[in-house]
Amino acid sequence: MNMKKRALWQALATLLVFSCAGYPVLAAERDEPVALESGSKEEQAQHLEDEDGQHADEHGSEDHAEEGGHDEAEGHSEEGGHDEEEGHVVLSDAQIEKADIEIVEAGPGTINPSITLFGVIRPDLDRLVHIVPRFPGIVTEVGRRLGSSVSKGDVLLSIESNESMRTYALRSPIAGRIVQRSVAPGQFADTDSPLMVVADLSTVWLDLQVHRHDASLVSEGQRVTFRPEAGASPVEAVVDYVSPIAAQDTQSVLARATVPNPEGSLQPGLFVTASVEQKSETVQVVVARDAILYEGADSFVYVPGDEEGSFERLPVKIGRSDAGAVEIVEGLAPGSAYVSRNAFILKAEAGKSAASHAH
Amino acid sequence: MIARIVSFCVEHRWLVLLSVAFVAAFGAYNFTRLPIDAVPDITNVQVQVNTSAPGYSPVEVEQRITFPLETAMGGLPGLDYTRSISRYGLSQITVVFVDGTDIYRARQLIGERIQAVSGELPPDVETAMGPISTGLGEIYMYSMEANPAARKQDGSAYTLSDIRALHDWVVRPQLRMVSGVVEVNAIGGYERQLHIVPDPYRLTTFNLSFQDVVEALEANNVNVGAGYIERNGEQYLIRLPGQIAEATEFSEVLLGTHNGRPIYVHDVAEVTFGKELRTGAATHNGKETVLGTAVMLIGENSRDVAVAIDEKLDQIEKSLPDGVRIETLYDRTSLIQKTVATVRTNLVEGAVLVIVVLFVLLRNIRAALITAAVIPLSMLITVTGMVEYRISANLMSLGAIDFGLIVDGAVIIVENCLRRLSEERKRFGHALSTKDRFATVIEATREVMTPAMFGSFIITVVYLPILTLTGVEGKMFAPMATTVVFALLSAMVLALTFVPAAIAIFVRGDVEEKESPVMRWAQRGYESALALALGRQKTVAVAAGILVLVAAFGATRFGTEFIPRLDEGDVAVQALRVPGTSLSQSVDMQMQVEKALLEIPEVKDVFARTGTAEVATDAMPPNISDAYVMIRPRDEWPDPSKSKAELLRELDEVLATIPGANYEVSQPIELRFNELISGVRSDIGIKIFGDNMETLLASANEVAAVVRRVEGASGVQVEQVSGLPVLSIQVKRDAAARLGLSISEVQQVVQTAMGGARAGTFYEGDWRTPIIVRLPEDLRQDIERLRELPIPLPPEHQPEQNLAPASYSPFGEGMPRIVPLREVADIRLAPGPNQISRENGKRRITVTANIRERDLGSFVEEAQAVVEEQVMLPPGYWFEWGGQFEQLVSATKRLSIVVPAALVLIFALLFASLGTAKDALLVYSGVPLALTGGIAALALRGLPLSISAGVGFIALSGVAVLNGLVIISFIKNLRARGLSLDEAIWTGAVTRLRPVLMTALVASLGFVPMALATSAGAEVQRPLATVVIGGILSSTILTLIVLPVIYRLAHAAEEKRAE
Repeated sequence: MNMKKRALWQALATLLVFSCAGYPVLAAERDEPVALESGSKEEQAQHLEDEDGQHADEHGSEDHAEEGGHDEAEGHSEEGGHDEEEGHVVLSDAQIEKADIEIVEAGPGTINPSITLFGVIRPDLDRLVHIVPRFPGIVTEVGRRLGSSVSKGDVLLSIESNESMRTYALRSPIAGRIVQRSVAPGQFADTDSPLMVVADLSTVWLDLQVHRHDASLVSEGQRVTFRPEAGASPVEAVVDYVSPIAAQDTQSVLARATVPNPEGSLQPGLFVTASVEQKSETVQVVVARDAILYEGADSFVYVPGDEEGSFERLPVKIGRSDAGAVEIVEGLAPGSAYVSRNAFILKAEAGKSAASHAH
Repeated sequence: MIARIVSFCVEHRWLVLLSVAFVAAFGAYNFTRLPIDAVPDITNVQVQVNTSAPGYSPVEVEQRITFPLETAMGGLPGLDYTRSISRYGLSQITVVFVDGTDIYRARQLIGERIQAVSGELPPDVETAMGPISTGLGEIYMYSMEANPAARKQDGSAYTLSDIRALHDWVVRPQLRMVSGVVEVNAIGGYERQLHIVPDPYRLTTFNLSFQDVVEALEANNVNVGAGYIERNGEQYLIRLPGQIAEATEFSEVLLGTHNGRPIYVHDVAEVTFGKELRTGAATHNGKETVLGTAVMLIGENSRDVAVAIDEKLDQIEKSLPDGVRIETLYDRTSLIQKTVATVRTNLVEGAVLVIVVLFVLLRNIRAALITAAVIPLSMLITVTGMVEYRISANLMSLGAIDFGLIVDGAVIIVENCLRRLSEERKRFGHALSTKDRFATVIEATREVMTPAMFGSFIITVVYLPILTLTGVEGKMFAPMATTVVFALLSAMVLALTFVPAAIAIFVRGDVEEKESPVMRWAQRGYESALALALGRQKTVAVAAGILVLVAAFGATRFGTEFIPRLDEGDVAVQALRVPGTSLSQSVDMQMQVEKALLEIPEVKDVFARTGTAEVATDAMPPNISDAYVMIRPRDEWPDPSKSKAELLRELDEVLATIPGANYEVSQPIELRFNELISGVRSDIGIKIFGDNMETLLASANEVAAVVRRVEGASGVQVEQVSGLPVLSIQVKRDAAARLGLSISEVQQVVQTAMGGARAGTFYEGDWRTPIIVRLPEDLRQDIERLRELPIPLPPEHQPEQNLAPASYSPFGEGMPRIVPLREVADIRLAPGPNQISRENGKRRITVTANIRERDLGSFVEEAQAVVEEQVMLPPGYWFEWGGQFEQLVSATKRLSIVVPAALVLIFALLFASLGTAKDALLVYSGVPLALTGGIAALALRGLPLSISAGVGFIALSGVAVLNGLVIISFIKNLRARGLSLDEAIWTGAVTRLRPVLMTALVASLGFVPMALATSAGAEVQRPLATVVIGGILSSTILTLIVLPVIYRLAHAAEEKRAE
């Protein structure tokens, strides 16, 4: 009977321990064994509980890892982000289509580099005449107004010479327009200052400011293109003079092109931005400008990988470039395929595991 | 004492009824005051200090803004900790206070501190505190769009800037007036700006600088008052208007003179309305839009506020120009309505089931109605308690209430009264006199009130451990426990006062116990089962023991889920892209996401915020989008029976087809909470504090490498701190100096050119438009153009006479004195810090890790040892270990003290009620027996162990103890009256069959709708209901059969001795 009673007590105590055990299981998110502090004297029962606790660890976490969608995602990001080669991306066909990724072959091409220079339109000084009186005297008649077109030999004004008291005429030595007039009838005209300036504006000068870093890139004979106004059709000319002397204040050199101005739309004094074409060069490997991506200062392109839909990051060294194309000096063999459009999506896909939103 | 209360109640029954009516009325009044939210508010007490610093890079933001502000926050009373991020153009400091701090006082103190340091901050930055709100604050979102055909007054189509201006100056001011709205936050479109765009070449020919333009604009756009003059007893105010009324007038502002000729703005610049350089954008169903978010003040009732906003918006929409409309995208009301519906269902279904069960078993409709009346009454009292304790009604706090369980005490009392009344009726042979009836009611109540009362107390006690949880867990579950305790206690009080009084009043006349056929059948079955069990006592006891062992083993194999996810109905998708992704690229990618998501038929709307809104409540960089996916109501689905999980899987599949981003799927409120609380979400976070970003990063990488090797580590990641592409324009000091330029002149030109310089405000009525001086668009397009950016040289000093040949200029007059930027600066592309995080005033970087297939404790121990040993931090750098494990450890520690304490307390209660330890233990044995059924039910439905299932187990223990207590105390009474052990056990068990069945049926049937629920709150209710139904089934069977057996085993010896 005594035996029976003890057995019963043991059974009850075991039950009690289990009812205690229910709590920590609920409380702990993970199934680590929780030390029970409820005062059970039954070693046997305690022992049982410990074993169970350990079992719980193994199974519980296995389940967890298999089931949790979140876990999978994390595991994936680990593979993609750290363990494998940096920048490796695999996309499904659907993804490639959605991302509008275009793959083309890199090949030889021409680079037409140019530099941008600031300039101002000036009158062609070779076709500009200062009208200065030969003898001092009183201006008796001014025949032409400012802005008038004159032909060669037209009388511009008449002066009564102080020396001879005779009236003589000043004629225009060239055809052009009167661009400056600082004379009125009755005025005393001296021989040291021009009374009028006649300019032939059928050609004008484009004076370009070449800053010291570009000085070596500009030389006589180069072609220069500019648009007189935004949207206007481009005007072409040739650099015919590069000043051997530099300006001290702006540390720049003058380059000049003579530009035909048949319609007179290039008015001296206007500012323009011109681009001076450099020697165009044919190079071995050219890629689209949009293909080049940067990580810090390092440049790279994406190329299709061996597997279907995979892409690898390929570090490249860039050479010369123009508005649309970039020369690859090193890293990409001629004829190899590369991603020419929306390469950024690949960079984003490769780097997305690192993307987080910390606060 | 309590017995006396019962007699008092029966004697003064009308008074009791009147008081109950009064209390109920008060409860009804309180119900209108009860704040209703969808989910519990788990936000800590925090104040955000946001400083917008346009153009500042992360390093500058940290150095010049974050640091002084953060330092100033030190030592605030009640301060828990501060954390901050410094990002491009934005500093955000989050000051977290210990729970219970008064938010208004905290804000006032912070305001004082901001004032104190404002002198140290750069002059062009604005510091403001975030809205006084919580994670539940974003209750209403709407978009503003114009019909494509709609035209402005001047005949042109509406642009995003126009819509945004309409929003900012028409909608927003009105909406902010709605009571309870603390902030209306706009994102999307472009803020309208008045752009003054000078041509740098022309400026320099006139010897003017950008600064001259800014100053001239500021000086010519001011109204001035000049006191007053008195004349003939009248007073004339003097006013000197100078403010510009028409945008075109800005062209006429005088800048200076050149060669005697006045130079106006139009001589050097163009004046146009333009777009801001924005930091955030909004998209809606694949198009850009303007998105407004109304934020609710802390402590307001979101139900009322959301409705008020809705009404106000309707009213505002009427005043908008034709073709411009406001579309509601997110309205908290719908979620709240679902919450209310859930609660209503609980109440109604509970009441109906109670009435049906009681009527079927008792065959007395009045008694059934009385018991059912306890449900709404206790609910109303609970509401009063909730209002007093500032607990909001939500799916969590109300989701766990099962009225079937709560009325158990009342059921027992009603049943006993009825039984006794009919017994008495039989004994007397005629209807009872009023006096006798009252006496019988009192007597019957007293008989069972002890077990009923103790049962409630015990359930209350088992909830206590939940109340000790702190942090997020505490905020989530403590209100739930409190509410349940309120409901239990009020039901208990009602059972002891209202129930006897009502029975005394209403159950009169001929009370005859009508044996219901159901009952008769049950009784017959039970008797034969009990006889069988008593014949094989040992087998039964051992079988029960084995069952418990199996269940206990099974319980350890469950997956666990600490915090349940409350289904908000809608979905949030956060798209995370690489740092450095531009806003327009992000927006393009986001639109693609939206278009793809819209193809899912269940999706109604998709809208997203990308980058930071104007009020930076969430400091998101442009590479991140928060998208809200609005799901159609279930009846509009092509397949209404489709599960939410399935829908989420489809969503994941769709997202997987769009490369370039990581997508995190959560829910709108959940997302907001995560953003606000923002602790380390992984198991372990190793924070490294120090000064130098590079050293920190190197150390963090080292730590990550070490931790990765520790067994069980998974997903070890270093916080992304670098990788923001920065175009660094380093002015060459010597080159600049030779040209007579100072560094700041160059910086200023670049700043004006790219970012723009503010030159006052243009006022049109209430509309305010910032005036920005900046360079023409074609000069600020790309890096190449930036290199050509013209930097004007300072005005020419008079050239010296007799020039040496070297200073002869080949240029004639009129060549502007300008150098391109590349002449004076090195322009380099370099990665810079993406953001700088600080905590408690120190730079910080975090390494996070999760743990798989290993227990947290030993992992942390090993990792700590290995890291301390292998990673050498330079002096001035230190580690801190944190993460979820901290909370787990503290919660486990607390529970491992509180749970045994609660168990001891329950034991003490049982001991007090039964008088012997042996009987108390016997009753206790019902608990594990009940749990077996719960565990089996969970396993059958494949649900994980969660807190909500835990609450089910808790409730279950209460019911099991209650049942056991009722039976054991009844048997004891019978034995005390002199019946033999076997007789007492037999009679007791058979007599108690009906109440035990009744409580069990009421409680478990009451949960059946919840167990099958798919409505809002189902995820809390389903595990709870499953556990309770399964547990009650097993517990009832086991209480009725195993308990008498064990009782007989335990008491056989003493019976023998007595013989």
